[in-house]
Amino acid sequence: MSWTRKLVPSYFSGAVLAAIGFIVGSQYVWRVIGGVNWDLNDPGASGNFLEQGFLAGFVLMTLGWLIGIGAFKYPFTWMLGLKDPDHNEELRLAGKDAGIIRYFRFTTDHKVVGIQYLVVTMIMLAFGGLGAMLIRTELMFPGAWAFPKETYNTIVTMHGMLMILTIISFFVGPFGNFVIPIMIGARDMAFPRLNALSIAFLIIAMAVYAFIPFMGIGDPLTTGAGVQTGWTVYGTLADQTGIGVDALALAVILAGVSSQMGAVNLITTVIAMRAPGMSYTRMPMTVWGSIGASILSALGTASLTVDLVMIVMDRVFRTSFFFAATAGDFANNGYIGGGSAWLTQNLFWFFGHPEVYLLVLPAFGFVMDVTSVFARKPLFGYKTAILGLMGVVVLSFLVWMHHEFVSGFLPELRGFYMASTELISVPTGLIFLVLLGTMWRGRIWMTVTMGFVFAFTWSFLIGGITGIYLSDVPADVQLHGGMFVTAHFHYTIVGGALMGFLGAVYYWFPKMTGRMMDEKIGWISFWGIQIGFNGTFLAMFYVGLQGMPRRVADYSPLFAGGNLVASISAFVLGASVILYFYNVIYSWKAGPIAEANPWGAKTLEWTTPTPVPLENFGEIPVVTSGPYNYAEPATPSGVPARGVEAGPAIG
Amino acid sequence: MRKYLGMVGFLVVVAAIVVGVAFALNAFAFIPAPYAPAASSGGVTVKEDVFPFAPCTDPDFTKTHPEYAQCRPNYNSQYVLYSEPEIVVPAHTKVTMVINNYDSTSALVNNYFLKPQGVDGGVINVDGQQMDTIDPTVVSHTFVIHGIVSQQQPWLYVGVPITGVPDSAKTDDAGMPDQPVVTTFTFTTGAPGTYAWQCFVPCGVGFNGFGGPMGTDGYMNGTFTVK
Amino acid sequence: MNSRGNLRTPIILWVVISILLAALYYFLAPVLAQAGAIPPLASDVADNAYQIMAIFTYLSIPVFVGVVVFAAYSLFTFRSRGRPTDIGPQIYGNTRLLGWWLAASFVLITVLYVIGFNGLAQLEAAAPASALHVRVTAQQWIFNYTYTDYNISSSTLYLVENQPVEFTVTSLDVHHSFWIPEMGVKADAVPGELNTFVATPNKLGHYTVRCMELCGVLHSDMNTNVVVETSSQFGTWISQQMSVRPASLFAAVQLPEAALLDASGKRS
Repeated sequence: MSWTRKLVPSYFSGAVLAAIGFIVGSQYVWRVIGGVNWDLNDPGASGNFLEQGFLAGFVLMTLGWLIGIGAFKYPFTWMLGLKDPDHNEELRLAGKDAGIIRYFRFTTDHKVVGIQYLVVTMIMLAFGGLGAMLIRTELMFPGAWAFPKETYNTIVTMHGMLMILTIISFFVGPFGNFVIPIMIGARDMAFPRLNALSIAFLIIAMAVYAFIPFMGIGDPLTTGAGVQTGWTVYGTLADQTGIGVDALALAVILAGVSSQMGAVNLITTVIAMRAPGMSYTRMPMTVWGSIGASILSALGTASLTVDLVMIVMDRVFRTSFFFAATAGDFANNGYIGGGSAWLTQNLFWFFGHPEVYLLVLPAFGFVMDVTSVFARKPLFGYKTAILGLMGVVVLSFLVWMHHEFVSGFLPELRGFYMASTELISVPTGLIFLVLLGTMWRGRIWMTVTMGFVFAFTWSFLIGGITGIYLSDVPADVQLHGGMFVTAHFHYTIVGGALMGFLGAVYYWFPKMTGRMMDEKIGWISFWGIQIGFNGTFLAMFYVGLQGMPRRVADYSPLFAGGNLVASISAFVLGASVILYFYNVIYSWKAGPIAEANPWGAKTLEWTTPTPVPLENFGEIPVVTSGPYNYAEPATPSGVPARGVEAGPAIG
Repeated sequence: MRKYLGMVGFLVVVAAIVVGVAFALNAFAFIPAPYAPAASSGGVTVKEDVFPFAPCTDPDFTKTHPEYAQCRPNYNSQYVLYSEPEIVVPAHTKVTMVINNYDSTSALVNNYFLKPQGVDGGVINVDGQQMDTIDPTVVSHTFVIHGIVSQQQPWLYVGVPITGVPDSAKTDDAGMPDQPVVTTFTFTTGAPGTYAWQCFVPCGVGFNGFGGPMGTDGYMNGTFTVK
Repeated sequence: MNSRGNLRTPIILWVVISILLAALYYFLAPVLAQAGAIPPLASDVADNAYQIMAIFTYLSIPVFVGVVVFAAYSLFTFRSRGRPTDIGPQIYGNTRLLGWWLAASFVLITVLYVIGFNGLAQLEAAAPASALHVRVTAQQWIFNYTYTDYNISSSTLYLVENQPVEFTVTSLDVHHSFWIPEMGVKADAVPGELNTFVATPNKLGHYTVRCMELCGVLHSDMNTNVVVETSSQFGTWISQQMSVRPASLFAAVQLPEAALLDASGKRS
């Protein structure tokens, strides 16, 4: 195949068109509409259209990217009434016989999209971790000794938002896409093109996000570089901070669209494309966890999008969504007032709370699944587990005001939200019951993945219990806004979602790449992560109790000891995660070749050969039992059967 | 064996990247040097100049004030600024501050700051006249030392309004007034401690004027260290 | 290898370790508090909050120990060396255990809720008539205190021991949060809104106010001094301030609701 046919359309042509789009959009607004002159020494130099120019540039950049990767080709041929793609066309779009270039293209094969997500989210995780290392460097000693305070605030914001965006996608992206269709006996996702579009949106969202630290430097009329608001981007401070907040808003909106596309895709696939005999109660728990997360993403993301759009409108169009004060106070800037500062808190947290459950639900499902595999026992209470997961999904929409206990907004509702937040610990507790019951009297095989399951149990337990402290209004009055909260959510998110992710990578690596990850490096990185993680955040609980606020570059010498311990442990944690990444890279190239079912699991993805053929199954299997039926005898091929009548695999 | 070597090598490379980014952030930031005027028998005198834009961009001004000829690195020349953001003075000393303000007037959001606080006698000297409060129409900036970082240091609060150059004053071609308005005041430091000082006039940008130079370290805010 | 394990051992471990940890907490907590693990408590609200946290700790110890003991016991007793050659007992669940678990969970959260509700009722009690009224105005990056009873403004917060204070907190620009760690007083400063908090300081001393909501570049320096003194010392300070106060000073601190309410007191 000639180079042009290989590279057009591909991510490379997309990148070229994206760059052209950015230049065209921004230059048009800056030069043609704004008439900007760039002479910084000219007192009349106007940055009046700086934000608008960037926004136009970003929009055209996104459009250029989507056109360049060929995402619009089939919608347009369909709209124009041209011939629909035939089966060979569809196979080509799915990357059949395309070699490695299919990973750098708009490819519809869910396995390719899964690998693309894995690589992209791991790169995002690495950058988020870089931010974390920079934060802990500044906090190692009192005083803003490493970076100026506004730089620190920007780093805090970027670390927080990037990690959230990473963790939203890092389970349902790689594993929801690669594994779940095979797990339920389907040939692909319900909407393969939407699938390819969702990873494309995530990539362009990250390209926009990358602009943030560079926006606003040196321009006289901008409000400074970067974004100083923290990931919560409260409208009041966001309306004042650097123009990077526009890039943040657009990047998050694009990533939210990507997440919602994936959510819709996943839910439809599970409802419509299960293999015959795969009833809802025979699906592995990973699928249920990912469904729960998808419901939350589909329903909640809109609230954040609205909040961000309002912030951009306040900044660019001088609306007053978040300003209550009338024009007299800020007369120079022409705001009309009449808005509400509480609005930004409510809009943000109405999304923000379901969001954090979105982060951990796939991990909940996964650890339950994998405990069953590594204890060779069925799940202790399949329906209990579903009750737990869905209970969390429903209740997570009813608790968001616990982030606003001290805000003065509707204080009479605090009792209700205290109750609902404490109530949400009940379904979460059910997950622990299922986990403990499955481990009990099993035959526990301590693989690295099982190690991460125990780490999850320990960490999420601590995170959940400290959450109960925060759910109590009198205690929350004292603890809100301090490092205790930061330690609590790191214990739940890192200890829950990240442990689940790292375990899942190790678990499904043989199926996704055909090789096993190295066990020795795996255990070294595992223990490094546990020691580093617990050291960092236990010390952080301590300084939080002592009274240290969040998001401060400078702090009292009272907190110096705890912060030093936390920083050193954080460096250990960072190094260990890097070791884990090294394990991934090394094993991908040089790990031992894996057999088709190295763990002896009973879920459907392990019945396919490795590498998984393009259409997954020769014949769609007919499922005759649940996913944890270890008592069934093995098939003649030695692979433990699952009551599956599988046909021969296609090459 | 090779995989362990690769492991260590990978770790070293990534650690170097992290350290490199940290250094770059530090290097590209505007971090002013500390200004510690020498103490004499009568105490220590701290001189500050307040400019509407960087004086190094004004050739007429730097002719008469050569100490401002050099532009500082990583510096936004359009931001309004105080010349010495990082002030260090000895403990238990009488401090005399002389602030030469070249910037024009601007309104306060909170007129609490019109009255000098924490200064000897409750008065400040503005161009030779003793004032115990400033008219809201002539205020330009404020110099307010506040903020305690820990209980182990004493409370130090010095809040002084800085009078601005009237609009009718003569300026040079670039817009820098020929004569500043001089505000002088004295106070005595206590035990050692670190404090922040800032301006409270919305002389920056953004919806309330507290962004831009007001929202960036080293222009309209800084640290006041008592050693 | 794989023993079949028993229920007795983990249950005994659970009870014993819980009691030991509770005893450890009982003896260590005051020592740690003295050493600075928590701020020195100086008000009724703070005493209440930390009492509740202590009760929560006692209640969470058995939950924490239970999960850890059972997980660790499973890990050590039922571990197979390498890939298992046989399978575990194929138990699909236990409805009775689920029932007990749910019942225990609901009982526990009811207890927590009742404790919290009581604490909340204390927090929401209205200010008595003898209360000192302080308007806290937050702006980037300082707090100003206006004693509305005396028309005095100050940058240091002076309070009287054993006299209730009603703080009304607002902001002139972005979100801030007014927190006195030793007194357990926290109220977000939201621009355009008034947020009220009532507390009674019960110990003389010097305390700190910290800002607890990221508000820009000097957020970490937005700390002011609090002095809780005797009634007579406070009276002396008030008369001193009133003698030097120029007539225009009270009107100088902008009170946002003046902009928001019209003559009949309705929000415009």
